[in-house]
Amino acid sequence: MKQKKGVAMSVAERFDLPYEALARVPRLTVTGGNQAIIENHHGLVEYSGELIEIDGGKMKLSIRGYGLEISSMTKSETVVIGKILSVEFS
Amino acid sequence: MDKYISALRGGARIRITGANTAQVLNRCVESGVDFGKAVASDEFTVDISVKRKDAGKVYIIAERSMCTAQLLRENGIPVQGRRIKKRYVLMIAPVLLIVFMAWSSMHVWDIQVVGNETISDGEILRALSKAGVTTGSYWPSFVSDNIRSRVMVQIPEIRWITVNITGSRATVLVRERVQSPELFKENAGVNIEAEKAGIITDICIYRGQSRIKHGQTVAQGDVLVSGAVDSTFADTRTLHAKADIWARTWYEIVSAAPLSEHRKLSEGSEEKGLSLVFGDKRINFYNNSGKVGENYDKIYSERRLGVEGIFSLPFKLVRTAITEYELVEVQLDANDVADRLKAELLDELSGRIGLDGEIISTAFTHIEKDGIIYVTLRAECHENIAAEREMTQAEFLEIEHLNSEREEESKDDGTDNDG
Repeated sequence: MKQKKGVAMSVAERFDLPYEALARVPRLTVTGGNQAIIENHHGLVEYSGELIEIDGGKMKLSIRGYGLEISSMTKSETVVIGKILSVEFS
Repeated sequence: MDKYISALRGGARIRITGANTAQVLNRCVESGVDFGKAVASDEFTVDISVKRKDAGKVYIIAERSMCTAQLLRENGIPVQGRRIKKRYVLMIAPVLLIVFMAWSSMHVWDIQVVGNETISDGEILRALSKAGVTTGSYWPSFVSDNIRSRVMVQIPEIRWITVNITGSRATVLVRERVQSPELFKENAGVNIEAEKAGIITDICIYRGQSRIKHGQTVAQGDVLVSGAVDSTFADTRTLHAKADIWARTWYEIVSAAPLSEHRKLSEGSEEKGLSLVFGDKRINFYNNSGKVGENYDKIYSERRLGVEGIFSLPFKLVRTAITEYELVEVQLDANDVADRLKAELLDELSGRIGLDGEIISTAFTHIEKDGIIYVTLRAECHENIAAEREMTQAEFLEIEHLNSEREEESKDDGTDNDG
């Protein structure tokens, strides 16, 4: 079944623009399972050493692992370090 | 880099406790309070690091979120500065250190001489000292031209000299004068004489008149090739004789050595001391800097303080180890001593016959007398015995006399023919 593309994605594809900037969705970069950089976030929902839930606007981003901690957090970017076992979008 | 910036501006570690710590963190970010190293110790507690100036904002945000904020610690230069505000010595010490470093870097504390081959370091350093370049000199006052001219006047063998300064180290670059070769004077009046006695085997004359034959025995000092050359129709003329005369030569060299020697036997007692050398001054941190007993070894090991090759402080740490010993007479094995002497004799022989000489045969004998061993080397060699020697005044006068006699004879012959 053909999935319907959103307007933001169509525009981003047509004009070669960054999708996350147009759609206001979080951008997640995971490096080596030990570091995750979340851009365009809307704040924390829950925070513990095993689970960090981040508000992504249209979705919630859950990072599971152990020894998790927020290395730095600004309005636009959050850096999570620790042993990352899984990342879920809901 | 962030670590150093954070240290410069100062930071605070704050513990937030409450039911909704995540909300506090969100509000901090919304208020422009960036934080880092957020560690949740349990469900209701999280520790964060913020800028020192933002700590007050975090307290307010935590209070509004029904949480409590507690300052755990503060760090960074502003905090340290506040701590040492009343400690004047601690405040002055870094300033004094910086001033001292600046003053020290303007002086020469280490001088290295490079590029010299025949002139000793000591000679150059003494000349430099007279020119104002010595340990502790203020290097910005150095004028290369002045130093160069003053040193070159004292040591004429130096062709060029320059002083390069790197930190507190002065590297003196020296170029020595190349001696001009001696010119070959064609009519100088030089004979070739036998440097050693021997039997002639090969004659190769480039200039001059031969006085020898193949197989002839010659004594040391005999004229082999004369620089006085006869002419049938003119006077006897002088020239610079040149030749290679090869001969069989014989050597007998004796060397002697005692069959016992004194060796140092350590008594086990060793004293160590530390000294600080500042320029020409020396401060000993130990007593009894003089000698310990009759026989003792004093070993110094120096260590210059600073960064190798870049910067050196005007201090030098000197470790002194004083070890007492007893001199014990030890009997040596005669064969070992004889072997050592034989090797020395062969070296001596090689030196005497030169690089182009050849040792044909050798024979050693040795005797022991009064605790001394005598080793004799008898050797037959083949070598160039030609040695140049300028003619003496008597030889020149003889030639002149010969020429005048010949002139008179020729005049008499002319008169007889006329008659």
